[in-house]
Amino acid sequence: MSLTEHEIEHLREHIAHYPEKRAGAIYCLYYVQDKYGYIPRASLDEVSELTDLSPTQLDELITFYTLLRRRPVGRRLIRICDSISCYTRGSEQVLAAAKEAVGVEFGQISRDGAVTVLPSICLGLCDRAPAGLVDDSEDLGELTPEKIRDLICSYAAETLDSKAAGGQQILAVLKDQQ
Amino acid sequence: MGTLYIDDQPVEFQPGDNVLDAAKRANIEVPYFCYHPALGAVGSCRVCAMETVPSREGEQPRTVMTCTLKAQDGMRFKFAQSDKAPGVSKTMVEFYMTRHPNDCPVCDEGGDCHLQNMTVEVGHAYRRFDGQKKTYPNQLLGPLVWNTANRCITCYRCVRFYQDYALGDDFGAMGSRNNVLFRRIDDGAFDSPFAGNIITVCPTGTFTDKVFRRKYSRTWMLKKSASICAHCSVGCHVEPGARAGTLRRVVPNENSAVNQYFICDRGRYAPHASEAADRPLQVKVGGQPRQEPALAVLRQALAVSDARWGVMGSGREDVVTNLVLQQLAADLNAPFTAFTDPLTEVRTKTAVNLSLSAPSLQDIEASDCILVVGELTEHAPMMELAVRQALKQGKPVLMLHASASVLAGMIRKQRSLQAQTQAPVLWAETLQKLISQLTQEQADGWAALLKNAKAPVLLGVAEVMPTAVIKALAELAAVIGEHSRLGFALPAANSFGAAQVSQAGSSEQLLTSLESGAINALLVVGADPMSGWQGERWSKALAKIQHLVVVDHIHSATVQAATVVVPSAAVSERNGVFINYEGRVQSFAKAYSRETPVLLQEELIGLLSSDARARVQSQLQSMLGSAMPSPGSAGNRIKPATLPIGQVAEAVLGSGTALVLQGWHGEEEVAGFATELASLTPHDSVGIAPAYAKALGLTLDKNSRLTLSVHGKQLTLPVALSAQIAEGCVAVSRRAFAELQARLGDEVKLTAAIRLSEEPAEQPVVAQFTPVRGDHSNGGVRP
Ligand code: SF4
Ligand code: SF4
Ligand code: FES
Ligand code: FES
Repeated sequence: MSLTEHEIEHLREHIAHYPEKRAGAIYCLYYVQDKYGYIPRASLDEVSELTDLSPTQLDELITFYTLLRRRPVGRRLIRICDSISCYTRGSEQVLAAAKEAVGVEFGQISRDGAVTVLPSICLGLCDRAPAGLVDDSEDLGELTPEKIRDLICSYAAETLDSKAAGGQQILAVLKDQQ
Repeated sequence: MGTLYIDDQPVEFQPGDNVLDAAKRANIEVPYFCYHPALGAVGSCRVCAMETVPSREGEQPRTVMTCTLKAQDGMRFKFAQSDKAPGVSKTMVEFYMTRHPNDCPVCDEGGDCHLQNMTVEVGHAYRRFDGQKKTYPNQLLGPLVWNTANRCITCYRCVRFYQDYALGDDFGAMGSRNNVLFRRIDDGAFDSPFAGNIITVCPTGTFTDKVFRRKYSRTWMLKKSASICAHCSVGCHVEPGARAGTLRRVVPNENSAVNQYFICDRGRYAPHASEAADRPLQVKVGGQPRQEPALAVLRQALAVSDARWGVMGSGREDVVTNLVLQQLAADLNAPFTAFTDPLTEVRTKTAVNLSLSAPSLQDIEASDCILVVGELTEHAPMMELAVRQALKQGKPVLMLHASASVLAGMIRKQRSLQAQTQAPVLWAETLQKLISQLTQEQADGWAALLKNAKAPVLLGVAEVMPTAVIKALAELAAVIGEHSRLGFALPAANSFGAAQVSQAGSSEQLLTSLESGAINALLVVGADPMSGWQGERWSKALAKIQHLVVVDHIHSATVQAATVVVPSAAVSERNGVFINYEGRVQSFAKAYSRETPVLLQEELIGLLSSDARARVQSQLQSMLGSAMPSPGSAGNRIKPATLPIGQVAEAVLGSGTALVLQGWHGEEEVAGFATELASLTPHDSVGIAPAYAKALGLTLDKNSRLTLSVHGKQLTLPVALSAQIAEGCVAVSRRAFAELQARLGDEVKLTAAIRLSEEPAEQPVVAQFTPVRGDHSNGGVRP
């Protein structure tokens, strides 16, 4: 598992935009995550080479930010808010329903590979509590146990090729800001 | 200096103190967690609270964190008298305890637990929170450190030591908010030579000493003493703890001016060699156990009629023992040495002669330009930790080295040009160039840095430096000027002392006397000549003699060959005096006695005639002066007597490939018998720089092997490619040197051998630590 020369070249170019190499770390990590769906161990060494941050510092970064992950997830990643507004509006029941629907613990991949559910801190969607986020890009509001069950069933029925490239959208946002 | 007031009590403070320091100095028991005198304050734990007393009208009293406030004259605080501050501390501790497990009765930190003390101190006695406790996965961290993650109170001391203080990069703080874990990316042993200190700085039982927990005792039941580490020439102050006649743990002795709060992992774990299963504990003559007292057996052995004796002391034996042996040799009319290798003897003595202005560890930390010659981490770890403090502050650290060294890697990461790999035969020339640049006032590069520094420090590793290099480094120091300081890491804890007692060329003389048959009996105390640089020569010479009497506490090769074995005391089991690399005379005190009595080295004086005893006393006087330092105090420094050195042949610049030493930080004669530490010994390999291999026409990768041939001896080893090995050199371990019967700098022929992947049956044997049952319960799922 490793980045191609072309990809490394792209990352180097991107890093060159910043006054300090390490400022490019987040971009590189997202890039790797988009490629594999998560950030594998070997990639820490590769990104470390590029950014002059040690693999440990990169792992500190990844574990600090919820949107970066070191483990694979399902084709669809659903985050459901468990912070205060959503909690008062019933997010506990939504999370319980979601867990039941995927049939595995939070953070694990459903047996068909379709979905991973994660509890999340406030998503900034408090006005639409209980809220959620799919593939870190598509927001869900006014969730109910029924709605979340339906959604998970629809994802399970999706064919592989219809999956939207959620992560790519984040990269697009990052690029626009430069 | 100044005075502030706490609860109306005047409290004196020192420059640089914060309010918490001052309060601690005055024995006011303010609670604290995140603050540590060496690591500073971050104000994160919020328990060191006091209330300010307004000094001006209109000002409101405030609750402040005393660790983050610089002490200033006339400040006033309420602590015990405050209505608020103690409540803040108590509430914070209560918060910490909502998550902390109630496992004090079975916790290894028990008796030494800062968290437990503070919890009791602030008066949090009853749990009110009835929610669930969070649990966290433990991580397996190798044979030395044990992790119980649930006990963490996130004070960040461990990472602040590991990353910020010791510049390690394989341990960190993972996660955020109330989900923070202190761990490595992957399971396994730490890279840092100083990792064991996270046990000491952690105020809870999150990180504990894994060796200690296998032979656990309540810490207040331990017999302790102020001792000195015997595993390198730095001479760190340590406190061994023992119970039932066995060593349980070693911790830094915090009150010392030498190493202060920390020790290296060699210092923490090497002393466990005293508990090695094969440690000699029985007096044996001709392989048969004897019940008589050790001294009587020695007396008998020395009295055999046909023996012509030689006597050997060592750099790991203390000053008094070496003096006693020297005088015993005089009584017996026998040659005496405290060295096993003529080359090491000459290098050590040359270095000791020039150690007149050796810097203390504090001097090194405060230096604004350091030049290191040789692989310092691998020879004197705490000296190197002091260098890291300067490096961390962005001060230039220049380094000349020939094999892979942790410090060199660190320097290179920051400023690649300040560490240079070079074959040791070229070092003298490089230093001479610096000298001429400095004298000709046209300094640039390294010379300019050294010239412009206010407090330059030059450090050398005597064992790996050709004599000409040692002298060149001293010349450089002289040219820089009197404000420079020059010190050498010496081969053993008491090398400085050993150098004072041996005649010029003493080891060569003893060896040749054995080889020529002039002597036919040898008394060895605390040395292992058969495993050192001249191991093969000694083995051959010793095989011929009838009487080999060995006094030691490790099952060394020489002990195994001995006709008479007398078990002696390990350092924690005896009193003695070492002289460290600075010429600092430090005495150490016995922590405990073993159940089976062993010979205490101080008893050896009983072998002497009364004349000889008097000579020992007067020599001791003239060497150390009248005042013998008390254990635990950083003793006075002595000036070395100008030692007669003698001659020895050094390697010369050849066109071939030279052998250099690849060391590691846990390596030392005694340390090799400490099971857990020794289990981390790197696999044997031959280190070579990729560019140099290419220049030799060798195509190598990580599966390649090379055959080394030196004077007809051959050894095949897996290749370790590293740009940190000098051109013209290959780097191998001490073991490989012994097997090849080679000396430092010897020329070696290289031939490519069958690759590893093509010959799987001959994979190198990986040194393995056999985990004891229970090791694999990591207390939960991995994250
Ligand atoms: S492991 Fe110990 S030192 Fe590290 S943060 Fe936790 S309590 Fe503090
Ligand atoms: S630096 Fe040397 S003296 Fe100090 S603890 Fe380590 S081995 Fe012992
Ligand atoms: S609390 Fe749920 S989105 Fe803010
Ligand atoms: S010791 Fe002062 S805030 Fe932690």
